[in-house]
Amino acid sequence: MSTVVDNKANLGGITDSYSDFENLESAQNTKIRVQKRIKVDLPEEITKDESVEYFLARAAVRAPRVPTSDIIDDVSEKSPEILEKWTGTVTRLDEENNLFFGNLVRSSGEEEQGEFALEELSETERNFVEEGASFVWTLMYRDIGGTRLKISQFYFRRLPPISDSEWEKARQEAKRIGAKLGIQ
Amino acid sequence: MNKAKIEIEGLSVVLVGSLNPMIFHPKWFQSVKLLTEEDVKDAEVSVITGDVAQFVLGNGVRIVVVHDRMTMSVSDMSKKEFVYDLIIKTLNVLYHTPIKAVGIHHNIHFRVSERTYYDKIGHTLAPKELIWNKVLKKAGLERLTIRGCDSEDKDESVRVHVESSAKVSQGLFVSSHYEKKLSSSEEYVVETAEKAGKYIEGSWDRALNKCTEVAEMIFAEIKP
Repeated sequence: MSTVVDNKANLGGITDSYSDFENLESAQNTKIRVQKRIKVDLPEEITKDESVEYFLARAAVRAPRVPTSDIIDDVSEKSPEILEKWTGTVTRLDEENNLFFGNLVRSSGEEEQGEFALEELSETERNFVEEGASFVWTLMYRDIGGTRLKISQFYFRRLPPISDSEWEKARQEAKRIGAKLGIQ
Repeated sequence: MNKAKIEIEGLSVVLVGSLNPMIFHPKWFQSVKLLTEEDVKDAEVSVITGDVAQFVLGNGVRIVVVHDRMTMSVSDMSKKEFVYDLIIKTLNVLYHTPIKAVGIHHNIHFRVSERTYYDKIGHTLAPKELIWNKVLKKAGLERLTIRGCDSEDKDESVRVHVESSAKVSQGLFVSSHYEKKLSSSEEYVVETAEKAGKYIEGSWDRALNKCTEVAEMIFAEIKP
């Protein structure tokens, strides 16, 4: 049975994470282990078939104790934990000192100013830095195995330039609003 | 939200229409300046044929194209702007492509701190006393789907699912699905790629906030 199915527990119903079939599976595994260990201690009058039933019954009782969650979760898909995210606009590029400056808006809406070293950007992202460029700055944790990395990620937006028709629409809209407000 | 912790979060954007999978190679995206050299250098191509194109970019964004749909997905929300930009630019380049519908899907797997609380959420969302306990033993909620509207647009439909997670044990999976119909198959399709782009622009934020809004509401209204 795949891990995916093993993990699936109904919401508010079955009181442990196992279906009956899964209990049996666990029980069978437990039986094999237990039989190997204490086979010599079985009273002579217990037949082989009876011992299987005995161990199955014992193992079924024990089944819910089998560790579940953290062991069988597939953590390879775990998403990074985003700590904070800002959207920004470059206000000045200082190539002499390898710096750029930007207005930032935190995810909570709070506005800030920032100064960043160009070194913090990948080669590709550096090509997009210019006055007025929009970017996203994300701070996050990413767990890889037992290691937690704190990552600062810059992404410069690659939106297509505004088309002529969009400019025209914007002009018309501005005119319409201006006329309503009595501004020419 | 300390009663529950986000373990996996992802999004996908789906375009339904008439597409030619053969052209969708990372190098094509680079050649039409939709992606940079760095974006495509670590791309892992699974398959590109006349029927299907599937590859994952170095940053984890997965692209799958078959004749009637294109899906871009990622399980790293720090890449959501990248996906947005890429889908908008792709629609700009493929402006003549007939697109019948657009979907914006968002999902979050939460790990719920306490088993009793996890069960309480299920019992509250789908009480068992009235019917289920009378007809079934160990009745449990597996999946709840609510359909509704989030705008005045009659061609937009919104579905929200709340279900037990298949990936996280003692996990709650919440997903939202925004779908916009752009044209019926009988209609002559014109400017649908542009319409698809406009829809994504106008609905992106609300489509990607709904899951969190639903989850926050569940964790706030249902006390441990």
